[in-house]
Amino acid sequence: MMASLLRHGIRYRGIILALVAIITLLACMGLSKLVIDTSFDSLIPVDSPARTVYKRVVDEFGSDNKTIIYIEDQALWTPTKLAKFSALVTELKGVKHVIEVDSLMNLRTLSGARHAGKRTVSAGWVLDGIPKTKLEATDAKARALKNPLYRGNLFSEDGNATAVVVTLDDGLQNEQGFNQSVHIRLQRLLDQYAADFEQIFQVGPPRISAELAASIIQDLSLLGPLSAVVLILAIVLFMRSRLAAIIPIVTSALSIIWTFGMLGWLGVPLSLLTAMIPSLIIVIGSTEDTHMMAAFFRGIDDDLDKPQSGVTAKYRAIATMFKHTGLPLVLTLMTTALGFASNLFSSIGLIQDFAIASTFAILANGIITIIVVPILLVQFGPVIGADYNKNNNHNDNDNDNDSDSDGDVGKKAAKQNVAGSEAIFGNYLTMKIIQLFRVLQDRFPNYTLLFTATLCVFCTYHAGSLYVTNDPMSYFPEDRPLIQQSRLIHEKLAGIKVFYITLGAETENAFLIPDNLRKLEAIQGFMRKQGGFDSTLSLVDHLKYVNGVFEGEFARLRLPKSQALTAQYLLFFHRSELQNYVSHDYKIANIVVRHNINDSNNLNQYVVELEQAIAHIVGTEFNVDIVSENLMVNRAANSLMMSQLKALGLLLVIIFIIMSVMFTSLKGGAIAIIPALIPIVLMFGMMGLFEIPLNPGTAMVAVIAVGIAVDGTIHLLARYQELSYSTSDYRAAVNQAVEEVATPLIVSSLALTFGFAVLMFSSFTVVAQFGALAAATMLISIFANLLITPIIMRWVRLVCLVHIIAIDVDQEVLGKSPLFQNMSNYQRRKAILISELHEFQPGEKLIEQGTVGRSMYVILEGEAEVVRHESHGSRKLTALNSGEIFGEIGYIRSIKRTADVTALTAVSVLRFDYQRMQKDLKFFPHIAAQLNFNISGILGDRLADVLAD
Amino acid sequence: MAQAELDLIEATGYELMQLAVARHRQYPYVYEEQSMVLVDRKGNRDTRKLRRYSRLEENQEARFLLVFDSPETVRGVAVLAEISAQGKLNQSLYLPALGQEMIQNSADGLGGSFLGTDFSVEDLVGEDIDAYQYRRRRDELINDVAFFVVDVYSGEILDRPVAAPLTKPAPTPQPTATPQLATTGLPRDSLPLRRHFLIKENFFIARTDYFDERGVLAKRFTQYDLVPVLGDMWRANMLLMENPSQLHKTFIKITRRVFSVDYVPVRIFTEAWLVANRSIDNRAEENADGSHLEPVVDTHNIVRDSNL
Repeated sequence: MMASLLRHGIRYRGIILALVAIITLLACMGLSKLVIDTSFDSLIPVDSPARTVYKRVVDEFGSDNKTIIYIEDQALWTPTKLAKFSALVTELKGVKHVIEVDSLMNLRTLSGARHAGKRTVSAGWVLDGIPKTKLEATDAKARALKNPLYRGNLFSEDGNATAVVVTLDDGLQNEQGFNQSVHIRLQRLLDQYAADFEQIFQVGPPRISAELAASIIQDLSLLGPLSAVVLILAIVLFMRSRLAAIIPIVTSALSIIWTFGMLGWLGVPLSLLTAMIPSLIIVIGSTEDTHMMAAFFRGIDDDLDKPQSGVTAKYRAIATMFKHTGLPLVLTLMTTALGFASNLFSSIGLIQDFAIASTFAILANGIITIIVVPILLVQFGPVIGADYNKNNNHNDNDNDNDSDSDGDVGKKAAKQNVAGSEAIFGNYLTMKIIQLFRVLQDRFPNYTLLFTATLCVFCTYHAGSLYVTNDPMSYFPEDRPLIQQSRLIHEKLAGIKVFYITLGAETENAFLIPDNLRKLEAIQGFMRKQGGFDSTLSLVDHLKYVNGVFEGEFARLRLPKSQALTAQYLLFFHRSELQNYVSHDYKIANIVVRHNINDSNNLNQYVVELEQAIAHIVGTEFNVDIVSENLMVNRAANSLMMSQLKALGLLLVIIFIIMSVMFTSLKGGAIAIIPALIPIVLMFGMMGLFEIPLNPGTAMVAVIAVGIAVDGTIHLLARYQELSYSTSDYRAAVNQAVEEVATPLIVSSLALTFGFAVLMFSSFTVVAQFGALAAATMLISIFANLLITPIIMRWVRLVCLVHIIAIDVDQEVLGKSPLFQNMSNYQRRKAILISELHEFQPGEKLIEQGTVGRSMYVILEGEAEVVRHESHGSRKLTALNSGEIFGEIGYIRSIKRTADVTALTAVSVLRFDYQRMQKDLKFFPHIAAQLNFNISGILGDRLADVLAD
Repeated sequence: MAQAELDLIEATGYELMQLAVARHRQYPYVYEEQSMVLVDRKGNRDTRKLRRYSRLEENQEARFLLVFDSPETVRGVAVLAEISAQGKLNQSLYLPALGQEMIQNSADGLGGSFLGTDFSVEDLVGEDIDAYQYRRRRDELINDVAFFVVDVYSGEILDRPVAAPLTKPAPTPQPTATPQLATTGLPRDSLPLRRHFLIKENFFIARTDYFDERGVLAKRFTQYDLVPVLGDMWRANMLLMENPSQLHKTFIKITRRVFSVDYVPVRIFTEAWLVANRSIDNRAEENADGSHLEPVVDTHNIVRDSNL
């Protein structure tokens, strides 16, 4: 059916190509609608309940996403530098979308003293205008550093580094291009002041977003072309065919346009993950092209000596290609697409978007490959090839044949192509690998399996130390300026990452009560002991500070002694100064925590400890929430692990079911899973061993690798079950299947390896790690598919469901044949497939008297006669028609045939070989048993007839 | 056109401010009961009730006292400000919960913000017009009310007086956001600190816009519910200070105002009176003659706000 469909595709290729062109045009129109998503929102599970809490907390205490302008200069506290600083702050306030700028230019500070028994409190700005003298500047510095609320947060300990905190318009932060435009405006301004300070840079959502966008574009422009180059080199190297290199590029290009066009139309944004889709399409999509072309070349090779025109040879080769790759193509397409689609189970929007895009990409590529590759081969295939000759015959200086396309020229071209195909099959590397594996399979199969099992156990053990991280900053490489500068802020001031701990009480003014404030203090005290966080700031710190101002330095470590004093101290703060730390009615208190932990695993562990400590400190008195956008993203790491495990499990089950159904055997399903499982187990082991975290990139490797690795297995199994129909030497069938599939499998796996390795050049660590692991997994899959799978394959005999359904036999014939009595239609069809189909011309002997044979036959079509030769002459014993069986005596006992069976017309027979049936008894016990039972019945009838005679 | 009107057309900013101060000069003895409402960017409101006492002595010394009555936790908190005849400001605080002593505050208004409000001390005690430069701008008509508009500059930049050569009032209102300098001889880069809007009818400064260093509106002080209190003198019963960028504001509503020397005796401006918590314990304090302070009414010097 599949082959028929594809043949129709070739016949109506004009229509098909026009359809492809229209879809491509529509897709091109969608490209202009593509948007880039750099928000962190897509990293947070859609259904996360923390979102609601986060929104409520941000509404109450303001956004946790602030942009920090870091300025460092040894001479910062001089009139000249401060004048520049002031000018910068003034200009920052004028930047579009900036709604607030907090810096040392608008900081208030308090100081207290006691003179002659009188308390004096001095309050004022850290800088009331630009200092005119160095002394004034130095005094201002001293005032700033004296304030514990600022030191370590807004100023470094030495005062030479400071942060300008820029608040942007909250309502616009999710608008497309908002962050990038703000980043550009801020950077232009900072560039103007670059010469005035030793260090000046910005870190915050606009920069991170802008860098993400720039890196995504860089990845798009680098990785796709690089993958294409790698693919071409790999195919040219292994397949020695330029056409084989060009065709995948054509199908990939179309698939990329279709995919990104669809993304544009559907509004699915480009992200750091979808940016690698061109590479994935090129490398993964090319595998099917490779298998198809390998089959095409094999078809040419097989038909080379048959008398036919070049065009006919090409069509026959394409037919061979369909026959051998049609089913595996559909299966591999399904499994690969399933692999990518499994990521839909992720609750993280970033991965879901990638799942949609990549699944569509794989399916689109599959469809394009199926319909376009045959057309391209018809048009540009090497057999008829003027072009082929031009391209391949240049060494022969035989360009005279260029204009011919049929006859001798075609044959010559075909022969040349065979040379090409010999290059495929005779590839040195491939043969060496097969030879090495063959030795292991033949001599040490059990040791090989034992070694593999031990390796898997070892890796499973190390996979236990696998950890998950989802922090956006970990997406960037460590040597990137953004990361380095974030670290500098962390070292000099406090980390740029923020989360809030909110404690909600039932009653108003709860956080004016000293006991409750002491609980806040205890929580902060615990966090200091934890040591993981850079700073914590709360209402408590403000109160201690004022207490110190009024009561003297010694009181700075103490909270106010009474609720009234607390309330009275708080009069010294403007509401805006407290709005980040306590609600206006003092029902909710907030601790602002800053840190620089880039690892979700560590951060989540700290937070879990913190939650336990808070529960211990406050009991159930307060409603406690620990939230921030960054924290939600990091917490999503846990759901990342669970969702990926779920996706992996489900994928394996689906593949198992599909394979079991397709090969009508649970063992077949299991065999398809094993070579996919081995690379995954080894990959997780490597990740644990080399401390590579599970992140949005690496988490996808498993499901994608399963989807891809199983492709090779499917090709192998499909070929093996085909070969099994015509031989009872299953080991030989396995070896032949391996030989035939090895080259495209190795070529495609190596192409995938190199293609994935290209992703290591990504601007994102997560993508580079994904690429490295996927590349390693692809290499391992060669070992699994070509070494382990064949060993296991020898233990099974597969029959493909498609072939069972596709058998074209007269049901009436089967129905009346005693051999198939008491068998269902499905069992009869399967029985046919575990037999061998033979055709004979009139006059040909099906059985020769006097020979020893252990086969029994069923006539499907035609007529034969049974003739016994005796010393006095020959005697026709009987005529046999469709449905009748013969040779059953030889099947039961190894004795000489007692008569000739000769075809009177063209005869089709099913041959049941005794030894093969004995083997198949263990593979298909029910069918083999029923056949044997029926044979017993037939023999019984024969005996009864003889006795009756 | 009357001569007085012609004079006003040509009046400088400084002259207009002089007129405003002269008309609405501080009344010597004022007692007010106020409700102060602090509104944050989310619209949450915190209400405080307080009393304000002010007294201007003949030697031009001025005393101000602000006492909190609610919330209960801040009851009795007092801010005492004294301005000497030479203009020197001396502030002290009393926090009952801290102990019975006054705390000297050596700086202006606790760093620009007065007790957590959007006001500064200067906003509450008034502007010393000799400390600043003024430049008149084109008159404006806002909501059918005609205003003189005067920009205030730092006294360090310009020599006073600076007269804007305005010959006649502008018939239409002008936008009042970013100040634009006219050809007044001011340096091009100088920007006003604030802009006063004086009601033409009575020279009352009904609105003041405060600008930041970029000349962008930073705060807006508006006085509503104006009532004539004594002769040409007007007072506002509602004061509003808004911060448009941070979206918070402070209302002060005068719920009661009494112009009477008896309501603001000298002794209540003393540390002894405050630290003895008299402001808390005995609001209806007795006068020396044994009568209660509040009922004493001098019909010549007192104006009650009947509409509040």
